[in-house]
Amino acid sequence: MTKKSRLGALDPRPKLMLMASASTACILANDLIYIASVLCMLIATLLIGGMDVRLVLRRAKAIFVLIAMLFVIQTFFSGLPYPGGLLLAAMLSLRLLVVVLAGLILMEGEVRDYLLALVQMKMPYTLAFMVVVGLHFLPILREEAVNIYCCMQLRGKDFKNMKLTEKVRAYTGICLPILVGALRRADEMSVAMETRGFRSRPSRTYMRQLKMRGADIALTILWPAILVVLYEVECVF
Amino acid sequence: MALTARALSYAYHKGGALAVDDFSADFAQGKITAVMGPNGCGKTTLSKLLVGILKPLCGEVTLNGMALPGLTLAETGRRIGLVMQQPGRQLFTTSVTEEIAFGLNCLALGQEETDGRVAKYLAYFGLQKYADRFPFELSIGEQQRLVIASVIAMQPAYLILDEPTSALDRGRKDDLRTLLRSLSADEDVGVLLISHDERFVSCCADSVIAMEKGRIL
Ligand SMILES: Nc1ncnc2c1ncn2[C@@H]1O[C@H](COP(=O)(O)OP(=O)(O)OP(=O)(O)O)[C@@H](O)[C@H]1O
Ligand SMILES: [Mg+2]
Repeated sequence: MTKKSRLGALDPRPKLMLMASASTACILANDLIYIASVLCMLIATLLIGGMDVRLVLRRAKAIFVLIAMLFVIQTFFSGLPYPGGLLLAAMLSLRLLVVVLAGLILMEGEVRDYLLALVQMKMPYTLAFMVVVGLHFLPILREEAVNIYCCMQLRGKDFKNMKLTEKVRAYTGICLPILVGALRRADEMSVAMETRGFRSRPSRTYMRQLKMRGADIALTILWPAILVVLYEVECVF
Repeated sequence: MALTARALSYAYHKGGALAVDDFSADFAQGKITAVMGPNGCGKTTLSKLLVGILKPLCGEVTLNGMALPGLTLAETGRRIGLVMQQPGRQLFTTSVTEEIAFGLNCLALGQEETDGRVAKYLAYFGLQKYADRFPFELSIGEQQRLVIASVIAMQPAYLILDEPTSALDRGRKDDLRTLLRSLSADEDVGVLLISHDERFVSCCADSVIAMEKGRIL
């Protein structure tokens, strides 16, 4: 077990609220200063929350690079006169950054906690369960793809010395068994779950109940409140 | 001539427990060596280290005196055949015939040679009547036979079999034992047999290595 950061120890609901409100606000807003201030607040929250900055940079490196590239492209190819293109590009990039960073907040926490949170927020269990199981299975699919890739090579397929078209065909060949395997497993899993009583009753019990504490409630209310106040302040000026 | 492991160690997580711990052994050509040990003692991990799917933390694997990292997986696969533990996760073509022919085509064997070997191993493993079936539709035991057939058909100098009898009935086990014995005696193949099946091991293997917690006992 890794040590839990402050954010990690929070109830999942404030984090869901934070993510939803910050992303929504920045997607709706059309104002550079507003988006920039939300971004600053978000970064402050992440730092105070004890998020490992280096880990974040490593995990989301590709996305940050992509955002930087989009910024450059939009600056030069927006077709607007000088400051216009730059401002537009800055706004779009910052907006994307907010969405990504807000999403990263969710990584400070365990998947099963989000499942419980979704259920306690009255999302139907079956739906919440499927979302969470889906997320859990993604890395497994990756592992299976790597396994097949190794098997193919051990049977003599040399992926290194291959023409591009051949390469594309070979990689598509990896997808077939993965797809068949995933479909079959989903099928078998659903039967196995029903034989163990999943959905046999309209309601079910849970081993744990999530409880909102002071900090959780404060964060849940504070973030949307600040977003609204900020917006009003911007409007006045 | 041998496949040699020298002081191999491996951990799946940095700083975590060692799945294979200071493992050294020679797997000679022409011999059947069995590796036995309880669940989770590192047998599967060892097999993946030996073919180079996993890279050891320390120690090295040499094949006839040549260090393994110098070879690509495709080159290793021509010399060392690996039958992994779960049959369903090693099939990737759309018919039983194609599955066996895959490796032979990669070896660029002629059409005649390929057809000959495919027919031979289909027959040996009792798979003729499934020749055009989709491999994923076979029973687990049939899949296991298909994987073994596909790997052996490439005629590698070494064979590593991870629980090859886990889904086989008694008759099929006898067939496999006969085949392995004749491969090692007549073709000088070095066989590394990972198994829990004590009866199978006792009448098949020339020597047994007992493993526990990643080490040789
Ligand atoms: N992909 C993985 N990630 C993390 N740990 C792993 C992984 N694969 C295996 N392990 C761990 O490494 C250890 C050795 O596993 P391994 O699969 O080599 O055992 P095994 O001897 O083949 O067992 P079995 O008899 O059940 O097949 C086990 O403790 C296992 O939990
Ligand atoms: Mg194993």
